[in-house]
Amino acid sequence: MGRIRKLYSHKMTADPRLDLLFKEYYDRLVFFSWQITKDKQQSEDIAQDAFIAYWQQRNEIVSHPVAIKNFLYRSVKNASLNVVRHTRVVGQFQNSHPGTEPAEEYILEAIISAEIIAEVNLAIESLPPHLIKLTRLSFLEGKKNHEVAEELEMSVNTVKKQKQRVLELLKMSLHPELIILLVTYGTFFTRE
Amino acid sequence: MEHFDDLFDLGRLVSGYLKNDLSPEEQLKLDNWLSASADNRTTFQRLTSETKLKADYGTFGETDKQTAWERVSAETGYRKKTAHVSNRFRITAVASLIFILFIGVFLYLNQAELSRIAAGKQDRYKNDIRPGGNRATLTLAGGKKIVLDNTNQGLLTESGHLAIRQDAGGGLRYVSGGNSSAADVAYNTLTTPNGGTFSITLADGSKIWLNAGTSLRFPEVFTGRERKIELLYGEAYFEVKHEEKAPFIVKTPNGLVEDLGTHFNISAYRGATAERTTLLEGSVRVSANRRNVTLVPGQEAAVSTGQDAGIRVAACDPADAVAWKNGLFLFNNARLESIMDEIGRWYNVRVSYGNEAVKNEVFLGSISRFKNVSEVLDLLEKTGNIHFELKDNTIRVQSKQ
Repeated sequence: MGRIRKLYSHKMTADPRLDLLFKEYYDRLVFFSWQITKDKQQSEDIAQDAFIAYWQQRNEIVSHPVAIKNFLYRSVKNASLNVVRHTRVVGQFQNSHPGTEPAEEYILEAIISAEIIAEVNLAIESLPPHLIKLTRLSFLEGKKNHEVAEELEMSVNTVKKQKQRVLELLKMSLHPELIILLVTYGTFFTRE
Repeated sequence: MEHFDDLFDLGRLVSGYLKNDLSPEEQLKLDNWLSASADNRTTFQRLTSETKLKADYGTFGETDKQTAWERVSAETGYRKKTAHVSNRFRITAVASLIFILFIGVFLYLNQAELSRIAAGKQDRYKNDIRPGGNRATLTLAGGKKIVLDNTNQGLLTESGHLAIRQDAGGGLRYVSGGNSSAADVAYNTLTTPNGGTFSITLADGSKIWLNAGTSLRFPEVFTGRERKIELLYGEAYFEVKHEEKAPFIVKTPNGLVEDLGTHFNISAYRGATAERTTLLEGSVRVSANRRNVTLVPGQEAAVSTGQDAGIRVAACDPADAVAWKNGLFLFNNARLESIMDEIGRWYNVRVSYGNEAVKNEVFLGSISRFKNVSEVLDLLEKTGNIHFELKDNTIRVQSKQ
């Protein structure tokens, strides 16, 4: 028994799925902008504007995934630089901390960083669902085993076993540097 | 306009390195990039430093996505339309999954019932067409033709040092009993018709599988410093016995493929825009028009058949290229036109189109090549938008209105 499914026709790609684009790129665009503006609210606004601009101009943009991704990153880059420039002018006027416009290489590296951390994030989120919650509580929020056990309504022993399982799963799919990241990241927030 | 494609690629390579899932091809790309400059190596160290990853991971994704989407969808007026579509899509997806599971169980439990249903289906496709099979014609040096199928087995012909046998599995085997002089080497031609396939083991032990509509010319025995054969047209898969002193060379209509110890597939159908050589194992050198490239496994070289016979090299999934040899139609983002070309050759039918647009529909999936044509067409039809009619040995393809 075979199975065949239709993916798309060239006609259908002319109508891209904004919700899927948003889901895929919102966080990484915000993160990219944040690296330039260092302002959380600004970077969220800028990323949202990029999606709105894309939708308004979608008929002039080739409906190829990479072309769309380029448009979004380009919009966010320009808008973020505008914010920095504006802040700098205001800053000089008020004679307080003048902001500096980041070098081009820094901006390009920020794009790579955004892509990397988004992929890393995806890898961690692709753990089995019941283990993600445990991972978040144990490793990321640094909760003690008995706190996690209480929250997830399981025995301390089960928590221990599942933590072991998480590490095993991650070891299979992640580079050692990332495992260190996960494990030590948790200790940042460990509360005594 | 400014674009960041290279940065996206680099992002993928570095994250692939971190996630431990780089393909050999990607690993090579990353290595090349790293060895290109000290600056690159410093950048790489910065991007993969634990401190940076920790800091980035802590900041990433701390967004209010729900509120953000509400604003974006409100300002673009997007929301209503997609909720509907995506729901319907999900229901269809679940329904087809259940359907597939159901059919699987059904098939397993009740073969007889299935063939009864298949019989009923024949009303719809008058004169259903059976799949291709072991069929070929062998033309000997003197011009004598031997028609091959599964019926003859054993010794076909014998002359001097050479015996040509047909194995129980159906393939041809050339067995050379001694040293031949290079003086008068005889050439044979093995040709499969549309709807035919055949395999042959040459005198040196190299094995070649011919897809439908393919012709291969080769010497009865190999002499001298190279083993040269010719793929006149069509598609073939090669498992070459490597010999350091006698390279194996396949001449194609537009170029040469030289084996450096190897498994590879060549597709050189008439009318195609390019000849494709796909490497599975080892190494091959592809040359055309005084240019040449050496492939690593997982790469494909396309020699364009037009005026400019340039060679393009791209990464590929080798499984796609040799699915035919393993008895499968495998469509990986394949356009309907190329799917129908393959079906046309295998079932020896003509294909006509009701409209041009339908040729560009894209499909993903696989089905055995040993089904009747109606089953293959049915499966394609189930995807929704297309409709087939089979009449007078011609499949007519149309968009469903």
